Amino acid sequence: MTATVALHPWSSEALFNKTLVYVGEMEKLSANDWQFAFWSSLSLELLARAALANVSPTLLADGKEWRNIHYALGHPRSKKDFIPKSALTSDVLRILNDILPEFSKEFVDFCSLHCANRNAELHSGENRFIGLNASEWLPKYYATCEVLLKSMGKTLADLFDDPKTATEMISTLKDTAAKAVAKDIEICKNDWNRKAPEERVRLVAQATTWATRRRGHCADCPACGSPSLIKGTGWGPVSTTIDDDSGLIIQKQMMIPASFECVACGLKIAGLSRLTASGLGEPFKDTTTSSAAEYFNLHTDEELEEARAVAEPEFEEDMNER
Amino acid sequence: MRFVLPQITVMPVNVLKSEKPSMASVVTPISINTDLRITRKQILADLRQEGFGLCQRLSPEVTTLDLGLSLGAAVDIPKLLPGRGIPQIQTLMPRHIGEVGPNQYSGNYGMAEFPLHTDLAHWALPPRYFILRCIIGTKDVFTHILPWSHIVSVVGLSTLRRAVFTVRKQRVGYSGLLRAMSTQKGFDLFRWDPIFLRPVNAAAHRVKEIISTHEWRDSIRRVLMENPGDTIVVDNWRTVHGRASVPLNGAVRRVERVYLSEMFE
Repeated sequence: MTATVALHPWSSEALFNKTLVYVGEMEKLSANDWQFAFWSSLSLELLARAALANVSPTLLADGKEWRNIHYALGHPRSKKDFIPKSALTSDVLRILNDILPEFSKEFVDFCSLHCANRNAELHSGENRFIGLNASEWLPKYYATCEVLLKSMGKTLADLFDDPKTATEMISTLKDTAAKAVAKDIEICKNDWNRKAPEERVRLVAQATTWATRRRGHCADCPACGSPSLIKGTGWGPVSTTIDDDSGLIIQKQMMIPASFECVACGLKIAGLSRLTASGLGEPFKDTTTSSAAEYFNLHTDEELEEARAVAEPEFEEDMNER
Repeated sequence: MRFVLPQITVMPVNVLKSEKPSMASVVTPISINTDLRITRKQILADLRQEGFGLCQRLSPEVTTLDLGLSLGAAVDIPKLLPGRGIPQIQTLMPRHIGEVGPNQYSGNYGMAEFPLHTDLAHWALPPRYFILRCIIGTKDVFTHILPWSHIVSVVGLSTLRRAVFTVRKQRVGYSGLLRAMSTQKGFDLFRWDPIFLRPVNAAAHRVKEIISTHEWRDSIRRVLMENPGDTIVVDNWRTVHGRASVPLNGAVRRVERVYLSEMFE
């Protein structure tokens, strides 16, 4: 490996090192201090950026200006008054959600909220972190950090002074999710059992039609057993094949479950942790079939037919021999 | 890439001298073979096992640069630090405080003992290896080498991995934050410097405290370069090194140094 004099500020190493410094400031305080939460919010954004830079620092560049990408690639600034601009935190989280299998929407939501609190704290007169209950946000913070660290080949011990406590807090988060979802399922199950048999038959039929007509992964409802749907967010590579016979383009991608709905008993579950706790967290494959026109965002056959109809003059077929 | 092996002349091997003739610190030299390829293999084996390898009177007639280029890929210091006047081969000589600036160890410690450190620890990626080659030898100025495994066993890996230091001189547009222990493309990189790196977080303060106060004497290997051509190849990522104090008659000592980014297999 070639010796390097200075560390690029958008490198994963530099961002992770700074995360360590901010976590160090956080760990000097008690979890109930508002500053503890404040430092955690700063560290979280840096860790997310370190995770993205670990894939490639170019993903951190604001893509609207090519110079940002050029700079992210390690080249010196190409213009005197050029100030490198990195991607917005919301974009960083969105990209991570797309490319990291375990960085589910729940983590994106938590990061977005924590960073929004940070913004309000820094840029307004609001004091968002005072009164924040550590038992509510801290386990989510550790769980998010664990996922981001794992993507970089690191563990909680690489970032926190007391990784054991962090691990225990993550466990409580999983327990809480399991208990909450078990309660929701129990309520729906009891309601379902109280319904008249003919009502249940009607609802199952309705659910069967509903589940097959919408996009998602069909599953049996854990409360009433009716056909129901799991929706997810795509991750991993998309495989694209062309069916020789039909000419249709078939695309397949793995999906991480994000939400569940049963229209028969009304059970709704949101978030991977709750879905996992109720046995619905297994990734599934999503397949979409489209025509070449749809795939390349061209006009559909119907649209072309319609256009022809409009363009053609309205007179009868030529009949010279008459 | 092909490279030309220099003609090797090997002088009789002497037993290396040890500052403290205890079994722990005596360094046994590798046996020199006239074929540089074999010598290189032996150095590589020693580097993997001990973190450094040494050869006595290794081709004194070959320049240090040619020797370095035959052993590995040399770091182009003038290219990395343009306009600084630092050559690819640096000649190290004992100097008094005041003779050089405080950006060099001699400017801080003079003829006194140099503390254990990583060469260019303040760089984002310090050179992986360096070669020290005796031009004018002395009988009592030892090079001290401590494998990082000793430091890991005392400080603890977790603390070292979380210890963040900052460089003394910040460069605008770059990060000056560096960890004591990091992983670079699958290889562990340990760095330490008592003056050019400054602790930032609690873990770094702990590392500084322990390394500065712990008694490492029994774990340090002491190596003497007494004759021209005596050569030490050091893994700069897996060891820290220092220089013993220089007595009056040791002021003539001249050692050449070249940095390598990799060793050829």
